[in-house]
Amino acid sequence: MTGYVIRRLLQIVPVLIGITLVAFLVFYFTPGDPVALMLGEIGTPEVEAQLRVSLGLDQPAYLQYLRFLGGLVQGDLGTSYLSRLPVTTTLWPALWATFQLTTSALLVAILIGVPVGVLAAVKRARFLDYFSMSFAVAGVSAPVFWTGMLFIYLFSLKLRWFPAGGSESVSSIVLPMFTLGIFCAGFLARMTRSCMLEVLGQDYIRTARAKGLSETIVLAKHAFRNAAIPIVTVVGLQFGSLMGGSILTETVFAWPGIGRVVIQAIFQRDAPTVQGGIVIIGTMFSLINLAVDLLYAKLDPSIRYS
Amino acid sequence: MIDTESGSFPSSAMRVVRRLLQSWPAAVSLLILLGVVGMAIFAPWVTSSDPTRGNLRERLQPPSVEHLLGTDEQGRDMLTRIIWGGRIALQVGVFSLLIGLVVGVTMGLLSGYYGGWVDTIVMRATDLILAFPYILLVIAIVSILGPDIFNAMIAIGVRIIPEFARVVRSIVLSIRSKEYVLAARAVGASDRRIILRHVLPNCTAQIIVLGTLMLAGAILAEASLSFLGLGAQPPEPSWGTMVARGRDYLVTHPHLSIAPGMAILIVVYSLNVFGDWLRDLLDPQID
Repeated sequence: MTGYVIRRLLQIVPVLIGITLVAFLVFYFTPGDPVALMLGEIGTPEVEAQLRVSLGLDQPAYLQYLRFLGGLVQGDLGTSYLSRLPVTTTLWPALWATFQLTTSALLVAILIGVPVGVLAAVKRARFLDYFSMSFAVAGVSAPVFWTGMLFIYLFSLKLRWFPAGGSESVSSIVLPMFTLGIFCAGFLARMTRSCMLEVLGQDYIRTARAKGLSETIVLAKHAFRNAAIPIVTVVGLQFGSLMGGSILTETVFAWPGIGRVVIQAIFQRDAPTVQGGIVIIGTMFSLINLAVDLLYAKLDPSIRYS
Repeated sequence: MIDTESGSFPSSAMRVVRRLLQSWPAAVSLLILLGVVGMAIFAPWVTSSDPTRGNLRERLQPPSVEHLLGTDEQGRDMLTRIIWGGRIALQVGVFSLLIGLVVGVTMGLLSGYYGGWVDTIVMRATDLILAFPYILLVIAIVSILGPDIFNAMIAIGVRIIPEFARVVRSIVLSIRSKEYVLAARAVGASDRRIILRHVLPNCTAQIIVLGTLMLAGAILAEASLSFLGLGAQPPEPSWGTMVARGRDYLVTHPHLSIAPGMAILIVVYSLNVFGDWLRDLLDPQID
């Protein structure tokens, strides 16, 4: 196990460096002149030149990248061109908002997806199986931004149950949470079903039934417990992909998350904020996937040796 | 020569058709997909009006005989725009899939067959691409290249590369030391010949399945990018753009957003159903 952990930890180092490189490239190639953006009409050529030097924009790309890395190791992700504040002042609170959205969406997904998947596996090849699985495919096929707008139309504009966007009240999170959760629930239901089916085909399930155990005990104690290992992994990996889906959900619902901040910054040409956001999301995503891998290796010893 | 158990091509094709007729969801999905492809190819002939030029006197009309899905905020026929939108969705989907497939399969073949430093470089490159959530990587690449439909194709294509590279690599690893590969090498076949004639044919089934599912993902990605304003630019009739533009009229004219979104749902749904069926067909051990 220790060898596996070390190997896996070493693997993530080049990935993290790669993430900073991608983020820097986005920063470097963001169109528009930041100096003009910051000074507007008031800049004289001297002031502009001075600002360019102080931002380090007069230096070649590789020096700018090294400077960015140097700041990064000290926890400095750069300064926003627009607010003139460290980008972290907007990015950390936004990350927290994204975390709230993704965890609650994951909860929705687990509460819907896992029971539906178990039920579909138990009622295999019967109406309930086909019925629930066709909805599960719809869940993964519908674009989240569109589901979100349908929810806004139905539950906000027509029924007036929940606010259409923002984050002012507690109920603001309900629609985005379900939008993102349902997308993920479809995937989870499908995975749960196939994990359960695999376990239900095993010899020990037949043995348990032959012993005369009740079907409930067979399903709960023998089948679900063993299917739970791969399901946990899938849940973990979903948490990462929820960060992707949240970019769209946040945009639709004006939820103040990190995805929305990055998208806005792209349009405002605030390159340092985009750069910082990409580093944070990429790093979080990689760390979550690393944690899931390690957890999986702990649960299932055969992984470590492959 | 080619290691397949299913015999000659016509008989295996017949077998596929027979299995397809036994599964109505897959058959219906295929019909829908063929219909969408047909509409996309023949868009200029099946539609009568211009998808980009509007007529303000006819703006925001409800569905009627003349305009089956009504008109949008610029008086353009919605059905026409949705049919042309299918063209964009399929173009971006197919081209990005081709980029990902060609580059990914090549990388997977080389990395699995040669191992060593080739393998290390390929695997670290795929690690990096997979280090970002799907849509964020695509957004990042589009921000570097500039937002338009062509760059969207490249960005989505790049994201698909590791999916193919990894699957192909693992298949190659499992068959690299099989007798027929060793035999081919023993009789002096070149690496190129072994890879193309003996290794690649064993990957085709998985490549086809993965391709179907990746196409679904690519179409969703294009729609998402265009929804955010980073893909197709107005007045191009991309489904994602149409959903986004309908937002301002959600209270009074919800169909402006609902209809193009429904088009995305139907196409992606069909691709997923058909892809699942293909996977079950080609990989019996799952069932």
